[in-house]
Amino acid sequence: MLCERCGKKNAEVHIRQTIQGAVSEHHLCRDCARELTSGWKPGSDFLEFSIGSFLENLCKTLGPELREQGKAAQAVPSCPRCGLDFERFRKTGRFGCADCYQAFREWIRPLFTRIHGSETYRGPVPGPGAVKSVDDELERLKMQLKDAVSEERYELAAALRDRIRILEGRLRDER
Amino acid sequence: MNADQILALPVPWVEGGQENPSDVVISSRVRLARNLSRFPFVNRATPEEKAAVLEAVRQAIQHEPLFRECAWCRIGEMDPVSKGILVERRLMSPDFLQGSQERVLVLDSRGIVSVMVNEEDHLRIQVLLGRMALCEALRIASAIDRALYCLDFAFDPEFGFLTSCPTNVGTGLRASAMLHLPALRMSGAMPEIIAQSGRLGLVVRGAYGEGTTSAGALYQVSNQVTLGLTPEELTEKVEAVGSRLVEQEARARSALLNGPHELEDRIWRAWGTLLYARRLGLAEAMECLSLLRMAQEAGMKGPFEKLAWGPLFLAVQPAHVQARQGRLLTEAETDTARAELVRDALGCLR
Repeated sequence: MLCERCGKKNAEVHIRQTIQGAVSEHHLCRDCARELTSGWKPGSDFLEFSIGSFLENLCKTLGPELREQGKAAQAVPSCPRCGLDFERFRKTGRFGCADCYQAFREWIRPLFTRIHGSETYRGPVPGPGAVKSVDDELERLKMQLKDAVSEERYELAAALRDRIRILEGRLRDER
Repeated sequence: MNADQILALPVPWVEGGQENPSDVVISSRVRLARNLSRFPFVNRATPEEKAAVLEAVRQAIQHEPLFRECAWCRIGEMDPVSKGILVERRLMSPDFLQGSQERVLVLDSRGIVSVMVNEEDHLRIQVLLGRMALCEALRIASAIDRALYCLDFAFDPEFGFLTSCPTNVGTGLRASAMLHLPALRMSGAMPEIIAQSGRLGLVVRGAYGEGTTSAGALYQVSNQVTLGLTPEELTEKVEAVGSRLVEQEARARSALLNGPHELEDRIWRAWGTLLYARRLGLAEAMECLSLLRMAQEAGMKGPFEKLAWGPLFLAVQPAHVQARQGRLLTEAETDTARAELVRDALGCLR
């Protein structure tokens, strides 16, 4: 895993911080950890650092769409369902609902790459309960596949293609 | 559920260690984070929405055979000692204690499965087994997961299961094994092991107290990443690293035991402390028990041979001490009561 601050070196310092009951975890390389803790004094907050500052940093360095358009992070659309705006997500490091992922999709992929070293899920797919209509889902996947190919994101494209095949197989079996 | 009812539940992860005391791996745990797609996540949900989540979960598990013998514990209605016991038995997280009325812990009668409702995510499904049994724990957790798909979990084909915190997204899986590594700690190897685990996408940290000097030499190895690898791959990775640590610990122990009598001296001093102390802090008790467990596993002769490590390890935890006394105690009173119960337990072995 890479350091969540610089995103370059391996995270070797793992910090669990509890402030007023809210627990957060941070994973830093030795250099960033040293830099952040240099001014620390007993009794003060352990680190004047939160996942928010990491996300803020992320938007500065990894938001080409934003930079090119010369827009601030506030230009990211708010979640249409729960109303969470990106600014608040950056501060708290918590999503408000499932639709936030859709609203912030473009901006959170780099975040996932930094945290997990990947941005594409592999694993079981929940049954029909989670997928309202297989046809709808297939359509959505095909559109995502088209985008992924045009953006040359081949790892994602391969995963999407696999999932499309599974769903098409399921449809064939059902009909 | 009150403290007595909770204390009557089996604790397989502790009892498992007793059957085969040579196990460096104390327990295996798998946790899955899940959210219901139709409700906002817990941090944005109103009390009414959280109550609706609870009701949906109740209906889903009501007729589910996997939950046939389950207790439904409303955290807000429980006394502090009962809640403390649940945390000390690792059936719920310490963060879950600050309970609103909508927080419920679903507990199975075998003491293996627990489901936290309205923790950071709507559901935290946890399976806890004794010894190295991560694959088995994953199998059970996955079966429960599938049985609850009717709840319509928040899922995205690209990102997987959607969670409140980005560090859990994807599989929502945290697989962890608790290991007893006294020799590796004594030999000063832990800082390097902790540093190296990060490179593998894993975390090794103190299970009780953070960092390199965990009380009782108990460490937890768990996956850090949750996206990009399948649940099976993540679990196997933790198990593989856990097994490597077991081998390294065995080598370190053999070197220590074949060395000068310093270790033997420490073990007998631990025995003496537990047998005669009038006030016993938690960290000190766990350190002494750690040494005695190591002596047992090395086949050393002495009165500690018959020590039942697991039950005593639980009994010295603060809420367990208080439950035995039947009331809330100050720290000093707890230390005195702890010393007394340890003296009683060890006195029978002499």
